[in-house]
Parts: sequence; C-alpha cells; structure tokens
Amino acid sequence: MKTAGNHTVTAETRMSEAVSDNPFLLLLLEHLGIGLPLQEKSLGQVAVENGIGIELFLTFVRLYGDLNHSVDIQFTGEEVPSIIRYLQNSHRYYSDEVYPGIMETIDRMNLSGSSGETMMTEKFFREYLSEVRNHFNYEEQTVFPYIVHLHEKVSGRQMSGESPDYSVSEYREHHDDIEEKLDDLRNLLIEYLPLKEGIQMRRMLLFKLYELEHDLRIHSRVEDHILIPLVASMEARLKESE
Amino acid sequence: MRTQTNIVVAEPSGLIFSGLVTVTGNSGRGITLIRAESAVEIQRIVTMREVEAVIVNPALITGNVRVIQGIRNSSPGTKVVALVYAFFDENLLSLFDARISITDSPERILAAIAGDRSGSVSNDNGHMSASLSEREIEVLKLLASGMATKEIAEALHISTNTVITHRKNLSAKTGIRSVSGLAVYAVVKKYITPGSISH
Repeated sequence: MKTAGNHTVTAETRMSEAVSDNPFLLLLLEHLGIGLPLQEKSLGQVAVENGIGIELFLTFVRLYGDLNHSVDIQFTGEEVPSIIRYLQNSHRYYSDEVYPGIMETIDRMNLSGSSGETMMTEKFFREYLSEVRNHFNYEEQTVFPYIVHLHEKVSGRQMSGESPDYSVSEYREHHDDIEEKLDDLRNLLIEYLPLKEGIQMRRMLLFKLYELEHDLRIHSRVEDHILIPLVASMEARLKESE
Repeated sequence: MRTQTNIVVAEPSGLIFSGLVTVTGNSGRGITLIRAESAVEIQRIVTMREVEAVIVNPALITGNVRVIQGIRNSSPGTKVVALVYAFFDENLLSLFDARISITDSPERILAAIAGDRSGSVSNDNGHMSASLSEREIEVLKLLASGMATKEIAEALHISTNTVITHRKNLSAKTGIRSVSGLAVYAVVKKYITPGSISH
C-alpha cells in the first residue's frame, strides 16, 4: 500500500506515486497539458518544468485528493495563465470526449429498445448539454478574455487599451449551477427509470456520469475558490493603483 | 440505538397536550414530549436537540407556513405532523409529512409520530422518499406541462408561495430538482404522458 495520500503530498513527493494513489490525477495532468511518462520526477520538478507555480500545483493535487481541501494560499496573480489553461482544457475534455461518450451510451440504449422514458432521458440530457455549452461559451468568450486582459494590465504588460466593461461579481451571478441536472440524471437512472436495456448499459452510463461529476466538481472549486478570489484581488489592486 | 425519542408539541390546549402525554407515556417507547409555545421555540428546540417529530396544531402557523420549511432546513430527519381537530385548508395540511386527529387510536398516533416512519424515510441520497400528496401531484403535472409558478398558482387558486413550497417538497421527496427532471419523473410515474410536455 502506498502512503503518498494526496492530502499529505509535498513538493518532494514523487509524481508517479501520487498518480498511482489517485488515478484521477491523470486528468489533472492532461488539463494542465503535462504528458507522461513522469520518470522519477517530484511534484515540484513537474511544476517547475511546466511553468506552474508550485503552490498552485500542490493545491490542484490536493483538491483532486480531497474535494473539501481548503484553499488557503496567497496567490500572486502569476497563476492566471495556468488556471485558464486548466479550465479551457477541461472544457475541451468534457465537450470532445465525455459528453459524446455519454450521448453514445444513451443512443445505444435507444437502439436496444426505445421507450417513452428513454426518449425523455435523451431529451433531458440534450437540454443539459445545451445549457452547459452556453455556460462554457460564456466563460470562453467573455470571462477568460477579461481575466487575461486584467492580468496583463495588473502585471504591467499592457498599460493601454480599454478594459472590457465587466467585473468578476457578474461572473459570480452568471455562475449557473450546472451540477443540478447531472444530479437529477443520476437519481433518475438509479431510482426511477425503468429502461429496457441490461444492467451493464446503465452501469456504464452511471460510471461515466460519476467520472464527469467528479471532475466537474473540482472544476467548480477551482473557479469558485481559486479563480474568483484571485480575479477579485487583481481588480482591487488595479483600482488602488488608478 | 437511541433509547429516548424526543417529540416537540406545539398545541395551545392543555387538555389535548395531557392526552398526548398519556398516550405516549403508556407506549413504553421512551418518548419525551417537549412543549413549545411558539414557532420560534420549535425552531430553537429542533436546532439544539435531536427531535424525531414535531406535532403542530396548524392553527398556530396559518399565517406563517414557512415554519415548516424552517424545521426541515434545521433538522431534515424530523417529521412534521399536523394535529387536526378543526377544519383546515387542504393546501395547508399537504405541507405536513403526516397528520393525526384527536379521534385516532393511540396506535395510529404512535405510528404517525414515532417509530413507524413509513410515510417518510430518509434514504442514502439524503432526500425524503415519501408518497406525494394529491396537491403535490397536481402541481407536478402542471409543472411538467411547462407552466410557470404564477400560472400554476392561478390554475389551482393558491398563492405562488404555496406553489413554491409544493415544488420544494416535490424535490425533497423525489431527489430531483430541475423542472425537466421532474417532468421525466412524472412520465415514469405515469402522472403524465410524454406527449403532454410542452417543448
């Protein structure tokens, strides 16, 4: 049994050990654009080689190990590019891989015996997808460009140019709860839907949903507990200097 | 295993309270009755102690039905039981988990307030699985057909707040929060047909 539980990881912990303990870290690496093999590198080395602040990287790893890990570090603002990269790559992972996979499983259920209930499930998931796409589009087209612009301004790399008329408080309000429908789908599949397909198909779908939920929860934590406070502090700094 | 069961009673009549004390005292189930004088006091007790059930005379909360939601929020496992011996609007009574009447047998009263939680059992997902009241089913059907809260209130001649309470109860009982999820539920349970859902 390995001992490197993700809540006790430090900069010296071997990255490969941490991944063996918690395979979900493979997703973290992917979202940050870090490839395998990991060789004998420590977490600290992996962070430095990939231009990610070690405090941020450790926070990510700990969040993957424990969703309730409290984020209590002071960010400098230099973390912005890594966080945006993480969020954009995870959007891509959901849109290009996870959602099509779930849709395919639902389609196979339809093929194996369509019923009013299966069609409703498909419709329900399609509705969810369109909401999620809107949410992602809003972040990609409005929120992220604003944050990048703000970061450049704060770090003195761009003094001119009008700031987009926007503030992080708007993002907070817009931050829809896209987890609600996913919970509903899970509850419907486990408790209520009398689908005609075998138990395997439902298990496959549920496992896919669990995988998605897990990563989405971390995604929301990163947005709520890291990105939003960071942006709020950059906004405050900019206001002070103006 | 818990050996003592706390039950809060909000009932202005001393005579009826004494009757409850006798029924529960004779049951040998280790039931302790705690008398509450007001909604605030109920809230305070359920926050501080583990309470199996709250028995409320609906007359005490007619102007303030939010009390029920308050109890559920503070103490999700606590059953809220109406003690009925006068006429009350069905909308009000449907907000309770169960109801007892002064003409009920001691067994029926005990089953409703302690031990037998057949009406509402908390499951692993944390929501209460309970059969829906007729009014809740009516609200569910209209909600699933695409009607907004205000439209449902008008159709059923009830206030929008009552519709919202029914909606919350529906989610608490089914574990499904979104309207489209509730629509799927309504089809599965055959309350509506897929064709009756507006697009």
